[in-house]
Amino acid sequence: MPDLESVKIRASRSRGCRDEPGMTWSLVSGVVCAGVSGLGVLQIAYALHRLLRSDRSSLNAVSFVFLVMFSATGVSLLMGLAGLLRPLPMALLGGGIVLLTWRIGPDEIGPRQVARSLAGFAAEAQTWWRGIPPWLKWLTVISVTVSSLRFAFLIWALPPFVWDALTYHLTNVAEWTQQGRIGLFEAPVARIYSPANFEVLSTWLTIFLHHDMLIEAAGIPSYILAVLAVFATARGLGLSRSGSLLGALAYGSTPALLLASTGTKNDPQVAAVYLGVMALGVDLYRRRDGLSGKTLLGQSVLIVLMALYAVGTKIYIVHMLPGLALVVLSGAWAEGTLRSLLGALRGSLASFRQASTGYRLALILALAAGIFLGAYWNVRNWVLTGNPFYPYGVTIGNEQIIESGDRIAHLGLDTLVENLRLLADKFGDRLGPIQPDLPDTTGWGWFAYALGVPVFLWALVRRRRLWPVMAGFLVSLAILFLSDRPSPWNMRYAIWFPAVFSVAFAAFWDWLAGELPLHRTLVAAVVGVTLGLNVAMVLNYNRISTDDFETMLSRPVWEREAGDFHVSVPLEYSNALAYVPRTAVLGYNVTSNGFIYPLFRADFSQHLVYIPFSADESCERVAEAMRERNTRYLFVAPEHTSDEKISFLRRCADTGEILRERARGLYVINESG
Amino acid sequence: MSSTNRGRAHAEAWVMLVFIMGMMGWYANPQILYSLHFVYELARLLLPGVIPPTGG
Repeated sequence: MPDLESVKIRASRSRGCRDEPGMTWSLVSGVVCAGVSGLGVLQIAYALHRLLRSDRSSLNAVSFVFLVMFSATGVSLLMGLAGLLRPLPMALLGGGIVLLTWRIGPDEIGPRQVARSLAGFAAEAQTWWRGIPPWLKWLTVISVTVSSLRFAFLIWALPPFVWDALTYHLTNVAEWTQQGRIGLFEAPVARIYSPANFEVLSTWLTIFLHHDMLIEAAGIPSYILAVLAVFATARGLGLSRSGSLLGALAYGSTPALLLASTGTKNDPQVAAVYLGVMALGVDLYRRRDGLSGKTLLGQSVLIVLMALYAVGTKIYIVHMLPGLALVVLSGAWAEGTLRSLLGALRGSLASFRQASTGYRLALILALAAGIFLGAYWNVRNWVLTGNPFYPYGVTIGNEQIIESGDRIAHLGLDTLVENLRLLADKFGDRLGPIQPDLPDTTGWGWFAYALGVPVFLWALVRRRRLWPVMAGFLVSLAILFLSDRPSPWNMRYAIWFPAVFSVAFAAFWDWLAGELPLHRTLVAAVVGVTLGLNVAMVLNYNRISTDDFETMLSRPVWEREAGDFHVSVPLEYSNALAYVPRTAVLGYNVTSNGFIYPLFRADFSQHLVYIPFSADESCERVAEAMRERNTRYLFVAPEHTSDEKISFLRRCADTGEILRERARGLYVINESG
Repeated sequence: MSSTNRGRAHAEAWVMLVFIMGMMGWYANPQILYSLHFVYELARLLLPGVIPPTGG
């Protein structure tokens, strides 16, 4: 068995991957291509935004951020399916879109209108900012600065390390980046079949540098969207700018959201879209002055696009949509706007029929793009496996509705009861620290418990106006809990829920504004403290030690490998990086919940092949399977490969005839064998 | 706002503040330790010798 020093020497040899000029050139060309492709994405997002915009600034901000995510995902998915997921084709497409739009596109989305919109946005932002009290300006600046620095530092300093990301989310990203094509591949983790809009968006961040150094930024747009949506919801409810801003900042400090945003998880994307639809829904039912047919049509289409996008991210959004429908219907009923809303919806259909052909065509194209992003994954799975939700089977009560792949999504009252019991156990986060997968905690943090719970109860008694929104959140949570697999980690699907505390807080703040300045000052101080404590606990994901940071920071950013970051990754992964040449194909065998992503390396240079075998086979048969797949190497790791298989390989290596153990967890076919 | 209403609002606000402080105190056990642990570690790293190690 090699000693640690020889491992380090080999590691440094195997990792010295690119020569300096080549690296500089690929970096510069990658950045340029990313810039041009990004302009194309922004142009598409702007065009869609003009088509679907509202007359309320906060909703327009929500709309634009969502449409940037939507457009980047759409472009990447199209190019990936065409096998053109490479920097140059992406840049050519982006540049082409901008040139074509500016040369032959309508003035409405041309360069002059872009300039006018930017100027209008800047003027509006200035007016908005002037209306904020100075202390809140300071709090906002400090919050945004601290959050931005934290995000930037963690993205730069650490490689991905969260469990599901290393099993399937990023495994898809790595394979697609390496191949330049979005498609299926042979892997023991069947969840690579899951809807993957988040992974596609993440791929946009890896293809240009052909490296994962920015991959953890994929959740940032969702984070921004979620925070903006909370602000827009509170404003839509008629709450003050200050209260809404405080509520939004508070939600932005929620540990579960902060942890997941750079934790390469897709849950923030679902949460953001849920909250975005909530903001649009509140605006729809609160409008007493009515909406123009076109605006209503645009906002309705935007809601459909958001819902479809989330379906293509994670199907559990479907369980939360009834809660959103309840918000709009019960809200409109309570406000007495139901009849006018239904009338306006009929009117918007009439305005669609009367609109110009170009407008109708654009709207149909937008919907087609939404259907493409929403349905692609499930339709593909249906065609390939006969089950649109593969690898999940579905049971409702005792009835098996859809045959299973290797997992079951069970809908039933027993699941709801069990999830509520788990929530009761976790309430108050008393069982441990809040960490990225939210083991045994809710992840709601200081603000939600110290201020959120009291003001929620206060609003329940004092603010009937908030009831539709509160009911919507509760119903969404209850329906989600009908199917959420009860486990220590079940709250990670509900990171949108603490937003209801923020909305209730905005109402409470406005009430204090009346004649209670002393109370207001005290509450503001509590807000400041809770926000600070929320951020303090997640500075290091509540998990990474200073030693782990030091280890990673001692390496160049290009060499911060997920396989060498032993927070959740076993030491065996370092052996694979150290001993297997980049030019070789690396065989591996892990379970259906094992880590694959770290084996690709940070620059996606390692080609992998799955070697299926069982512990009942002969050593010769395993070696034969490896040769058939053009590899000499076979990687296994405890916890990620079954113990029987590891013991079997050790026995093979002990005989020394066909396989030998090159380093712990890494087996090689004997040259002579 | 009449003085009765104002008095009621003040009482309600004080009740809320007590509730808020109570919830904060309740949440602090044990989350205050988890929340400040890394800040403490960081301070120890940046100010060697000034801040004693745990139990020291």
